[in-house]
Amino acid sequence: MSILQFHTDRGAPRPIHTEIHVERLTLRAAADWQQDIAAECRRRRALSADLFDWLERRGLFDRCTVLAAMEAETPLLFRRIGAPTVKVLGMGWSRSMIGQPEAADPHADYAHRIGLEYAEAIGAGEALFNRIAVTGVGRPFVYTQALFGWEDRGRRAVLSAIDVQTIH
Amino acid sequence: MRSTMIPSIGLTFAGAAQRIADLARDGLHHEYAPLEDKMLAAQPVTPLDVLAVLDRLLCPEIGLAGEGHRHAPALQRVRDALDTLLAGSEDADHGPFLADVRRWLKLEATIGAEGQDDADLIDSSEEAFRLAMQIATYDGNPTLAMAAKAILLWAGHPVACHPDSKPGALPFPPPVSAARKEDDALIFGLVADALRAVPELQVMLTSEAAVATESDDFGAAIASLADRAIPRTAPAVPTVITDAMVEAGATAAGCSPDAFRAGMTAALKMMEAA
Repeated sequence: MSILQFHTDRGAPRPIHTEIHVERLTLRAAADWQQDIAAECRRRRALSADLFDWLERRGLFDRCTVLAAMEAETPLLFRRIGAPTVKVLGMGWSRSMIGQPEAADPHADYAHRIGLEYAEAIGAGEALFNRIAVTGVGRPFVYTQALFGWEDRGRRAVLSAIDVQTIH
Repeated sequence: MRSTMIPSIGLTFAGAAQRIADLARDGLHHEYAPLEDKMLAAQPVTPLDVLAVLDRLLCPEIGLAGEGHRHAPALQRVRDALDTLLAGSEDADHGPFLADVRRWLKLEATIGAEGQDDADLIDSSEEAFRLAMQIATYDGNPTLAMAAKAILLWAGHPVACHPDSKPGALPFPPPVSAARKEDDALIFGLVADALRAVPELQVMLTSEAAVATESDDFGAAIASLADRAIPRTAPAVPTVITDAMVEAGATAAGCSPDAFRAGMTAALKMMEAA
């Protein structure tokens, strides 16, 4: 169910003021299941479908969003959108974003800011953990993301394990 | 110029002759005898094969010459005449040219290796550059010239020098079908052509499989998401309407259970389509 408000009959859309607050925390602050995912990614080192199967078997994949770029210098595209994001931004938005770059997201400020975190996770090849508070995209919400990135000959991918804390 | 492969021993005539000569010099009869039996039983095809067989027959340790056979001097003259004819042929400069290619590959493999000091690094880089220029300007046999250049380009290709591949070992190119990019497909094909055209180049590559010939886990992982781009369980849609649900719903809505069931079914249908 979407919580976005669409104004279809008001002429030009009102500019949306988006505020994003990203707080970098240590992985110790993450939920147990987020820590489990980070540990498994670290253990496997390379990205494989086995990892996704592992996540599915443990019922954790629903909470994961994956973006990937299959060629160097091309933008990350949404390959999977996790249930928390579907719940916050809606099924329609989610379906329309599969195969699209983050930049196609109408909430450009938000996408850009989170994109920086993705790039950092890919560059680090290590788990990152953030607490993110957003206002101006749908209803205000707070969530944490455990990120893990991979790079393979210019191809990149990032997994975001999302724990929604609050929707106000 | 090529020597034919003898499948039963995995060596060319020329390679086998060399190996047998080395073993014979060391007196390792048990090791060279079976090799020599197989080599002498095989049919030579190219001039190099013939030369290799003659070399075995004339071996000073175990050949006819060593036994003082009266036909040995004549055979020696046949061998030398063949050698002279081959040396005068257009392929004569293959050896030194291929040695340059081999030397360049060796230098490239060691440049930047651990334990190499700055002076070594500069020397190696300069020599590698000089050799590459020499190979680039080589205007002998065009097939050999193109093949050698293809091998040098391959050695600098990202797939060939992937960090996970064995250091100092140049892999055979992956099959063209494994390429993800047009450029890669063309270079894989080009290198395969070069190795077919000049089989001598094959010994400069290792049989270690290139990383790219292994299954592409990264690509397979991302491809596997196509079927699970959106969680099947999101949003949670009940698939079974229980009697308890119908009873609670009908009571709350103040309608008959059948009316509520029909309403609930219609609503779920819309949710699935959303």
